[in-house]
Amino acid sequence: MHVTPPPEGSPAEPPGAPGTLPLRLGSCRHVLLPPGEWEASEDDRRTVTRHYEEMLALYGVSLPFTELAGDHRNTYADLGAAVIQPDTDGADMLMLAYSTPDYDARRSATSELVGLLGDRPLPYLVSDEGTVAPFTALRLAGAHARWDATERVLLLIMDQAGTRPVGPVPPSAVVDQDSVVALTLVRSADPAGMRVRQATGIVEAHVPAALAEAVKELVPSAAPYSLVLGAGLAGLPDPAEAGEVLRARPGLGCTGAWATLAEHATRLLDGGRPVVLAEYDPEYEFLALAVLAGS
Amino acid sequence: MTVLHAVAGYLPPGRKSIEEIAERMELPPEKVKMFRRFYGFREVCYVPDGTLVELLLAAASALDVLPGVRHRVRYLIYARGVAEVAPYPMNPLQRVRELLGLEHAQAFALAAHGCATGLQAVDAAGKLLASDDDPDALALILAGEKIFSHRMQVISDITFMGEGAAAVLVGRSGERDRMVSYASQTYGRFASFWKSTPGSFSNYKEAYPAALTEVITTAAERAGLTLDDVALILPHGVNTMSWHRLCVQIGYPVKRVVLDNIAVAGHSSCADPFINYRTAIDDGRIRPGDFYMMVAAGLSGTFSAMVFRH
Repeated sequence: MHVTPPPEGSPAEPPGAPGTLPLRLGSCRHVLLPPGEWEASEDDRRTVTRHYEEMLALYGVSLPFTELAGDHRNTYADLGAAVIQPDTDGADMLMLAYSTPDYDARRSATSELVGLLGDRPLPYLVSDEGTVAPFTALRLAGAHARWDATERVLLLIMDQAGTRPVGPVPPSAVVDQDSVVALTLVRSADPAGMRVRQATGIVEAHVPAALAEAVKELVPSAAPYSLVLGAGLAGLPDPAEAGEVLRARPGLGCTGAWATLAEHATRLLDGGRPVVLAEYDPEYEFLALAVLAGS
Repeated sequence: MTVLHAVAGYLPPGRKSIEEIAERMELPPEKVKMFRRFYGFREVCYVPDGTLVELLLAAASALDVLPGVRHRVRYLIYARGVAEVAPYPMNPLQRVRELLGLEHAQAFALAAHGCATGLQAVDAAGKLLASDDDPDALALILAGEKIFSHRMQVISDITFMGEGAAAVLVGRSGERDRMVSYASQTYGRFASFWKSTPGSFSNYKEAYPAALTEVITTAAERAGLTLDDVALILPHGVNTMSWHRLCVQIGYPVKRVVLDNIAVAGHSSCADPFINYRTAIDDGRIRPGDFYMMVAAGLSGTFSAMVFRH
């Protein structure tokens, strides 16, 4: 059970300086799934179809449910089950963050995945924030690590291609493959810790300057850093101060930058350089950065 | 420290009797009688042609203090019971952010705890604010949902959903309404409550009293209290009968549970405890120094209780 204030015997003082997350990245893995088969009995199918067609009607959209979410998809419960390793992923918190909705009202993906982990974790679902939702999830994880007895967090960053937009979507937010990245975050007393910055109201023309300023704030040393850029920053020239720039491939929604991190995790995280991950959502004008290692 | 800086409830003027709803839902008359006689429902808030944006704006507008503190709002959190409320990429929350003049605020939704997500949002907001460097910053939590589908209107044999909403300003400091403790537990075996799995509903009903009792007693203990010390319970409005039964089980006087709004508003998803707070304050049922407890359960299998001191 999650309790606040934390149980007796927990650290009296929150670790880490204000503005840092008292967490370190324990592991990072990425899984791509081929289109799945949405399983539903005829009765469930009728119920779910009616439910979402009534939702569409509220927004003045007349579409059959199959145009909103097809049969060949993986739900977030499916994606989570594909990446979770119950024997080693035990956690105090289970967080899901995504940019595309999961149209299966029959079940709660977070609760189902909590069940895979023995009902121990406190579940979180963070959404409605475009492609920067994973950064908010990171901050929430850090806030719990700071103020609770949270020792270990499993953050699942997901997006699914089976959700069909009913309106225009920025190219950087398009999802063409079901994708999930699992991050394990472990409580850490490292005073540098992880750091996250999120800025609102950043128009595209101001992104390069805002990013440079945020990096300067987050990585005060003049040492070169590794920079992982999400698809929302595809047009950004390589910053001169970055020792290395890795770019997410488009089509993975909010998972893109994190998938790139997972692909190069061992080298990046053991390389001794600060690793900065950044994403920009042009629809909402949100810019987000995280320093995951180094100082 | 997590503090409720201000709380507003909003019950839309549109009402339907449960008989009107039942007709649309093709519910048998004996069920309607059960809901009225035993579960305490008479009418629910329901505005078929209203939008989610309008509902959330109305809740925020009911917060008298908001215009004066708008610039201090760093987070806008939409706490909701169901994960998906709009066709992608429509995003009512971000539209509300714009219309409230909160372009500077970071806006996101939380939904993992079903109808108990409102309490999670309070805990999350407090921890985020405490991790930042601005002691005056605030978080605005909005709760309330459109009952857009038949499936949402009447949840099995237990509740009538309504379109009540709430707006809650959370801060880091202040003397009034300080959060003292929070207990929450999610059971994965209830994740598929909506699925037509044989026995899932009866299993949930069977487990419900013990699961809710556990978080209630744990939250009281973590606050250093017994239930006798808790002046009032501000519950989720699932129905009156379940609260009468639970009160017998835990030995708590049901007259100290705010059940007034069930008859006139139905169960307003995550907004209930906050709407009930407003009712209790307006009726003078919470006095300075009183401890009170917000309690909620979600169909996702989450049970939560949160203790405050007024």
